[in-house]
Amino acid sequence: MAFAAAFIVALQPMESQMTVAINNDVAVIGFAAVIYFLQLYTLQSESPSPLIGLFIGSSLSAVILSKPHGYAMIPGSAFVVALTLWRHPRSRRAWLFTTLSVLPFVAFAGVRIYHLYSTGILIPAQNHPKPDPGFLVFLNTLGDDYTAWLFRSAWGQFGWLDYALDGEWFDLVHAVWFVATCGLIVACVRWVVRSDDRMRLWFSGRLVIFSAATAALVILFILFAEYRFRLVGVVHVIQGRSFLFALPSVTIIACAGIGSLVPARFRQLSAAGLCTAALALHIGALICIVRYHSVD
Amino acid sequence: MSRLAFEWGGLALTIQWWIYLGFVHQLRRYVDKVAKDFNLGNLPDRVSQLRPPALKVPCSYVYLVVFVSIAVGAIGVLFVRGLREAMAREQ
Repeated sequence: MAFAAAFIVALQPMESQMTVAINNDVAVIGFAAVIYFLQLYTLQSESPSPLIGLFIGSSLSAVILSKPHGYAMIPGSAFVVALTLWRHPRSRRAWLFTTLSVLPFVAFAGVRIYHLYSTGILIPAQNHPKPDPGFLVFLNTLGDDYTAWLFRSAWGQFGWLDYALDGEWFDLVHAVWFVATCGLIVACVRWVVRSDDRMRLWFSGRLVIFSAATAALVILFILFAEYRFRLVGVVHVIQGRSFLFALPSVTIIACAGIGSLVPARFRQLSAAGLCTAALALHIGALICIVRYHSVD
Repeated sequence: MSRLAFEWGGLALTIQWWIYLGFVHQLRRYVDKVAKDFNLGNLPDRVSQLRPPALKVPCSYVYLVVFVSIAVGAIGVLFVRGLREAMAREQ
């Protein structure tokens, strides 16, 4: 669904401001969604599929070649490959899975990374003109205005344009997150006290932890990129859309939290409601953009 | 009674749907508010000049209609299946 959504986003008029034929942000969102789905599929499957390995390696190469943001997907993929080998150390399929997932990555992305380093495009840390305050200090000093702008710019305005959806939309998004957080807390408490099985997480607990780690890694990686840009004197390069490829994993976490609040037989109704809300937000964002172009 | 959602799970579902319907209500309000400025006719001249014709208006309208149709269809299927599941006899 995330891949389909990214494909549809590619057709929206928001790229009109970018004056390009193909938007690489959309490619990052789409390929990251595919990689994340394949990672979950591999983690859940009994036996690793070499074809899935090939898809993971190819998609990983594609996401990195689309935009450097894609580097954030490497640790998760490496973890999945390592875990597969650890689970099936003597399986021929596992080694074939590993080989086929690593080969395309080395052949395409590896060459690209080597090229970036050898040509000095990747800025060495010692060349920073500003004193290095440390990444944790940077995170602590992020202003509320900037974080609010990042959040708002993820929907509707595609980052750097000065128009956004109304605040009421974001109150509703916050409400969904509040419910999801309550659900995750309830699920954790129930898991600790091992009570009623009916109200367990919608998904496997391990997959939710993997999703949380993926989302955290992506968000921290993008914030680290902003931190590095600021060190060389460039500000506000990172915009809301830069975080959107974390959405698939964030969505799984939200669904797990929301689904854990209702018994299993109500979950499809809950999912129908969540999809209704997502579609309304999507159409609202589209109308926002079209209106912007109409009144300008 | 529990099949009719008169339980904690039903209460949670009601709260969730109350928030979800808030999105639909907001969309309706938003459409009413911006209707006077909303003009799809302005788009063809503003979309990137470099995009291939298959991704420009009017073709993109076709994709948009297909996407909304699929999305509404998927939600409809989820809703029907969800209602059936909720009202089914408990094992």
